[in-house]
Amino acid sequence: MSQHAPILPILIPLLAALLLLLQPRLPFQRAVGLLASLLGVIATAWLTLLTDDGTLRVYALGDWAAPFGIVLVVDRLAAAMTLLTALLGLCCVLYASGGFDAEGRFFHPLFQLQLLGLNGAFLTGDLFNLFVFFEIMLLASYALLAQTGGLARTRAGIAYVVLNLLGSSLFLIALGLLYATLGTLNLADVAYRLSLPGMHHNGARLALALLCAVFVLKAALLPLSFWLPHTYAAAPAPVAALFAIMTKVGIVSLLRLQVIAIDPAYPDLLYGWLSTLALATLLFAVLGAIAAKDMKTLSAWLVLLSAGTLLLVPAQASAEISAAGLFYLAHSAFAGAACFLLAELIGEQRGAAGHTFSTGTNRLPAWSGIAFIVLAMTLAGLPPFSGFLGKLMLLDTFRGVEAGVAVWTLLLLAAFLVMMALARAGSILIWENAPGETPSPDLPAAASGWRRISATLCLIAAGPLLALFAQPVSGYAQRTATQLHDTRAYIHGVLGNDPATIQRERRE
Amino acid sequence: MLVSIVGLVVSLTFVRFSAPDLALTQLAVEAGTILLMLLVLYYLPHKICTPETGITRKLRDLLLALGAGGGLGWVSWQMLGTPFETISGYYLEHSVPGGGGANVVNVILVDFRGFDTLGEITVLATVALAAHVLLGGLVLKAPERDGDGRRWSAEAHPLFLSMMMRPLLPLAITVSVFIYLRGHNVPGGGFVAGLITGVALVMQYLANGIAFTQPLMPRHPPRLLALGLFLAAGIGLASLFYGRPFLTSAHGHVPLPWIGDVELASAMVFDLGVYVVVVTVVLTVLSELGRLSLRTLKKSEAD
Amino acid sequence: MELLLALAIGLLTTCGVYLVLRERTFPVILGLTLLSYAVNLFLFASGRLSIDAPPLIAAGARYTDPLPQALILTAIVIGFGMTAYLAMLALRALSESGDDHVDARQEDERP
Repeated sequence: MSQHAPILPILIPLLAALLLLLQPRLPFQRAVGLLASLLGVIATAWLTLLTDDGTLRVYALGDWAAPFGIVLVVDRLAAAMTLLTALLGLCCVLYASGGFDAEGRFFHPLFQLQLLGLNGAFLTGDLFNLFVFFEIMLLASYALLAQTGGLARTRAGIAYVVLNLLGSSLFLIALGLLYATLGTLNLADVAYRLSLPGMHHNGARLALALLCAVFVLKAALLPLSFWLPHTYAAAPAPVAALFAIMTKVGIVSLLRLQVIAIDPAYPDLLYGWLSTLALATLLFAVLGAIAAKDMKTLSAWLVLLSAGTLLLVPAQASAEISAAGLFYLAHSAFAGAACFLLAELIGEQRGAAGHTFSTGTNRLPAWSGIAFIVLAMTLAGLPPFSGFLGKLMLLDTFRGVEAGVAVWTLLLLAAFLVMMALARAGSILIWENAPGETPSPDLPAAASGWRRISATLCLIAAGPLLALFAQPVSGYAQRTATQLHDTRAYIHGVLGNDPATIQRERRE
Repeated sequence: MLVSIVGLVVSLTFVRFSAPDLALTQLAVEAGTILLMLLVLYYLPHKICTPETGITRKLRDLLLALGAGGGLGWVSWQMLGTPFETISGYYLEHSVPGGGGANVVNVILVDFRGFDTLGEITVLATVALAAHVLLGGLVLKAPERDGDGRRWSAEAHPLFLSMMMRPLLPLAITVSVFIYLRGHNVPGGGFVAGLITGVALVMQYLANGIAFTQPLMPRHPPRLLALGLFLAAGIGLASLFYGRPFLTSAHGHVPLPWIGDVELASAMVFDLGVYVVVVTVVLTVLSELGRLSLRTLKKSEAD
Repeated sequence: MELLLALAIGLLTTCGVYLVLRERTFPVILGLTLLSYAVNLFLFASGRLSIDAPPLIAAGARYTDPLPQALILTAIVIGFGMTAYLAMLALRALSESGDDHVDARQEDERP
């Protein structure tokens, strides 16, 4: 059975989506959605445990060996990312079951399809298959974005769709060029072909550069990041919370491509410009966060901020920095998602003012104030929570790097400014409410329901928990990064011990 | 309609350069796209707004476009001139012994890279769900006059067209079954067959009107989608029970009474799943657009 | 022949990109369609061109490269789905706003 473990994170959401299409009644939808997400968590946790022995698991779909068929390649990184997705997904489904899923149609099947796309993108070892999973993920996200109407949402949707369609065209062009120069689509085979003498065409270099451009578009690097704040702020809360991991898909794909194929062949391809642009993205996001007028917009800018920080990681291609980056990635995925959910809850509790930064009418319950403070400390990187540890590890590993001074300055500046933005947000959201005035009877402090509260609290609790278990988690991140950077093991694990015997033919 | 001409030329290019499958698919998709565009164009505002963009912006856009076009054209010209080594010889060799079909492109789609195709029909199914999400409950004002103020033709459904179309439907379905069945060995396959059936049904709708076609539509399109996806994924699941990876195919010769020796491949069930999904998606998108016009009609009568 | 195909790809891309940069949705949809033709032709070209060599197994025949063809088939289908989605989204935006501009500048000015 354990030989089939790699396919489970893809099969479970697929079959769940099929089941969900059969019966539209809400209790059934909720039960199946929650059950499938729970199963997903169990399966991915199992996969994570299985892969922690350090072997690369290759699952050949249709029993066709790489590079001819499509293979799923599961190392620690892929397994851990699916686990992260499954945990976030479970919390979001739980939250949505608190009432949101009744508003739109097909919320649960679309959500499962989105999970399917995310998991597939993390697991696949074939670049064209990665394109297919990107499209599944994006299309499901478009449909989830359009769940509830409203002009702003539809407009944000159109811009988002057009931009991503252009990205898809670019992806296909890059794949065509890659196939035309190297004659293969499997990542390990691409890396192997590039390691041969005489294979360093300009064409292959251009193809890899285009692929990087596509990934940084998904990760929202600066000249391509204007779509993110609009889209995320316009998305419904549970959808936006899952979107917090979508930028991470671009980052993880970029990291893998960089470490396995680009860095050995063209070490200068990403060097320099990626760090500069990542720092610029960071600065841009901080400015946006300070200027944000409501909590959801602030959350969206914070997601962009963490994307900017994480994009520093692939630029360096060093195992220590990758390890620190992976810890920070886990932290920022949970904290970013929690931010969107809490923004909506607090917004409802405050009555008419919502989550905008203006004086509210209702007094907040004590727990949401405390939750906000814990979350804000996590996000701003204050001790003792996970944000602090993540930042500390990143800063520590960036000490010896050439651009280290700039990175240090900007990361610390960003942390300080984010702290200010969050402090301002907190003081307005939590304390600047005027309970003395008549709490308007038509807008009572909405009862949030245990599902939504517990989902939000679980995500917020991830911050302190990650800090509490920092030792094992960062140890795991360390092992993950070491395995990721062992390029030889990856190539031989996928292609077998003698890739030179792979049958090829020459075409004019 | 310029686009459809371009599409036709593209599909002719595919014929010229030995890609019959592509040409067939491109033609079928073209028909689908044109119908879709017609339906959408019907609702979009006609009047051409005053020039909204300054000359500088147009110039900038033109330069950008020329840069992109020139760049890609140059790259493809360079690419065409250099030889390369590819893995595709393996597919040509293993298609008949390993996949049980002589049409290599089809065998790659349903067997070697069947996982891609599963993903592709998942995308299509998502489009159908999105159609429900986006267009459900939407009411649009249909324009009564065209751009120059002429009324649209009052005669809803030309007699000639509807007379022509009714016998055409069974014919189209027969053709699509034929194309589906032969897909594994000669150009064809589930996707093209599905599109032909779908487009034939759409033509019925155009010729006879939504009121005539609506009762014939499937009651629960999402269930059909689930069925199609399940056919494709389920046949892949079956291989798990034989201890083989997901989507491993099997094929063999089955002697049937009267008909004789028939070659069956499990990949054909997969292709059938593709067929069902494609037909359902085309019908769903269409019937959502159609209901749009019914709702609009009811609203304008109520006013 | 190669030059002709390269020119066609370049021309289609130019028209596609120019139309995508327009303000209203219909040209944008058309532009994306043209762009997807260009991309499909480009993918097709990545397998090089050969005449009278369809990838159908028969005795003693020559075959063209089948893999790019399979990839294009997948890409065509996904592109079709995306076009359909965008068209529906445009209709939805139309019903909510009454016009079909891509960006929201006018709305931002009058709150």
